[in-house]
Amino acid sequence: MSSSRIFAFTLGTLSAIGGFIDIGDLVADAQVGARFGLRLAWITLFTVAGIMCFAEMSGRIAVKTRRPALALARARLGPAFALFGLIGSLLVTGLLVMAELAGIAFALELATGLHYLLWIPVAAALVLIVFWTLPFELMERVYGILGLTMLVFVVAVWHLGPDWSDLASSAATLKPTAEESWATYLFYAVALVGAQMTPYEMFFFSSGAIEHRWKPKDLIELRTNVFIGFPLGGILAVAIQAVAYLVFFDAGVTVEHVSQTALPVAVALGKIGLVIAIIGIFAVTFGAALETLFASSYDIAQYFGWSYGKVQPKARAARFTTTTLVLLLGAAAFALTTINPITVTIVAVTCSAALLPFLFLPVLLVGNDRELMGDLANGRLSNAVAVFTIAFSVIVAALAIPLLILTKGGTV
Amino acid sequence: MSREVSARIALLDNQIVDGDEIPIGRVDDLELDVPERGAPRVVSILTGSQALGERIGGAVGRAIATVSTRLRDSSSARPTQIEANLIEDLEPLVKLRAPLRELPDVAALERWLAIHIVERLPGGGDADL
Amino acid sequence: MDERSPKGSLLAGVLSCIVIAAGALWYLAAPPKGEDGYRERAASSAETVRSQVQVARIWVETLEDAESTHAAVAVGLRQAEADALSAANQFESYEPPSGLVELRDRYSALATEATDALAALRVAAQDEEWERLGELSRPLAPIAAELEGLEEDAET
Repeated sequence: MSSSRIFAFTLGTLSAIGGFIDIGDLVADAQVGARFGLRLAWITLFTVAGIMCFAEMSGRIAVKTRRPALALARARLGPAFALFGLIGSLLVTGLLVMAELAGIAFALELATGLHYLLWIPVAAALVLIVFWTLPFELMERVYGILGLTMLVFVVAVWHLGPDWSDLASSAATLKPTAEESWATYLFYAVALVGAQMTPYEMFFFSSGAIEHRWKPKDLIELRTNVFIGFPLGGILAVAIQAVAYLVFFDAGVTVEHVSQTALPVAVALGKIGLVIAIIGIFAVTFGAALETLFASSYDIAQYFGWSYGKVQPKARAARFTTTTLVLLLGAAAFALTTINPITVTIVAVTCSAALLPFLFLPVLLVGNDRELMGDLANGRLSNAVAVFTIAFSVIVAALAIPLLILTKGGTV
Repeated sequence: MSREVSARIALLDNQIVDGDEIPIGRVDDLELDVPERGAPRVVSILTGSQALGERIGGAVGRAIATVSTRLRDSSSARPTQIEANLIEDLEPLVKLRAPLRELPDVAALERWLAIHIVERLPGGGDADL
Repeated sequence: MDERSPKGSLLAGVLSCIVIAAGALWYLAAPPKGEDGYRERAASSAETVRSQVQVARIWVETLEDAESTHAAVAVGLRQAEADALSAANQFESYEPPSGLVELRDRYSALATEATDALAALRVAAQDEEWERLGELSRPLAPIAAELEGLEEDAET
């Protein structure tokens, strides 16, 4: 294998690690760690397995059919089902674009002391510039590499010199702490599922495969990215929980700001750690802002059959380009209404969890379509994990909105 | 299921690409000629938000359809039609014989946005429509 | 194929989203009902204020141990004060049931102490008087302990 190939593999995997984390994780994992310790770490086992399965499937579908899974789904399941999934995922992803922009602004606020609202236009402008000028691949790679700085959270766990047996027993205790109710515990389980099993990760691998013009021989690269990258991303998520637990649990602190997500890293590793964490938060939210923005406008473009993606000149994909600009401006405007982005994040990940079965099912059906997929159709393992993941996501989806209301977004 | 209905279902929502293989829209509706014997024949393809809006129906459909009629110069109230003689292929994608610039009635929104917005932005390029 | 079904499910989906969002917002803002409801809300509000006090303590500690940047500490302290104020204001907007006026007064006294201390910290950080933060944060630990006491009493 040539060195440039190894380089490409590594970059892809590294991107998947940071790509796992976005504002949803930064908020939900820290909140969970502060209130429940590692008692919800088991959720990450399911979410990593599920997202690995479906990201691989989406990528494989895109490699074989040269078209994204959801676009194929419209033909298979009919416009009614596809429209419901589209509207639902647009609402959620739209909320997330705003929250990710806010995440970028929070990182800049933490770095400079200037209020995050002042940074929203800057964040939107940066996203706009990158979207407008940088090639897809370069974008992915740069924020993928920068996202690795999030590993500082893992280092921070180590540096805090925790009682490992305490951490282990916390992770093995599958019930709420004495002060918390089952409703809140299950609500946060749902929120974690929504934050970690993000549909736009599927989109990322599916459209990435098309933009890179991958062929069946490239599947090994796809699988390496997915099967190594995502579990490491899962470890990152648990590390965010762990540092929050170690620093905040006994003090009785609940996390309500991204600054508080980063604070344990400062306690563990000092200024350097804090600075690296801030860079990491900036990188992952910036990358996620681009991804959610693209996922939204790609979904719309594919539904209506427009030309999309990095088409040159841009005027040849005028509808797609305009839609992306409108979505970005809309998200920035929404952020400037001063609605709390943390609340929006929690609502978005909960609604995302509620919609998961509707987004997974079409992908599973297309993956199993032998006429379309030929020898690349789903194997037994893929189907087994997929069916289990869908069953799991159905339970989560059914609980999502009721728990959101019952626990008042986890504030009870 | 009647042959007309099954033929419509197979072709509906398919991607349409122009002569340069650039996606321009979807098959939002069809006009078919179904003879007593023999295969149904596609008379024309209806595409665009007006066709889609009329197919969806109701308040939402009317809203979608209105966007389209506002932008098209043609005063006709009919949805955008692509006659059969412009269609090169129907499977796997609907491919047209001509590039979009030679189809002034099709993809009005694309044309309008390209000319009035994207081409005017730095780096927007020239759509050549 | 029923051509109305896309529109029907679309409308139903949008309507249910709006209903759900409105319901959640109303539910969140509703005042507590009855004595038990009020006690619970007092405990939870005190918990929130205590959380801000504790987080402010931790921020100041990191600065003292040179573990944090000035900008970050300023941001952390500002957020802590804002959250404490908003929690206190919200709780104090509720009418206490007749038997619980004492609880409310105790809460108010503690909340005022907490928000005053947090405000002093925020101002000192804004004025870049970093050396004073340590001394200004000394009242925080006892306030936190008292808030915890109030939480426990409210819940019994």
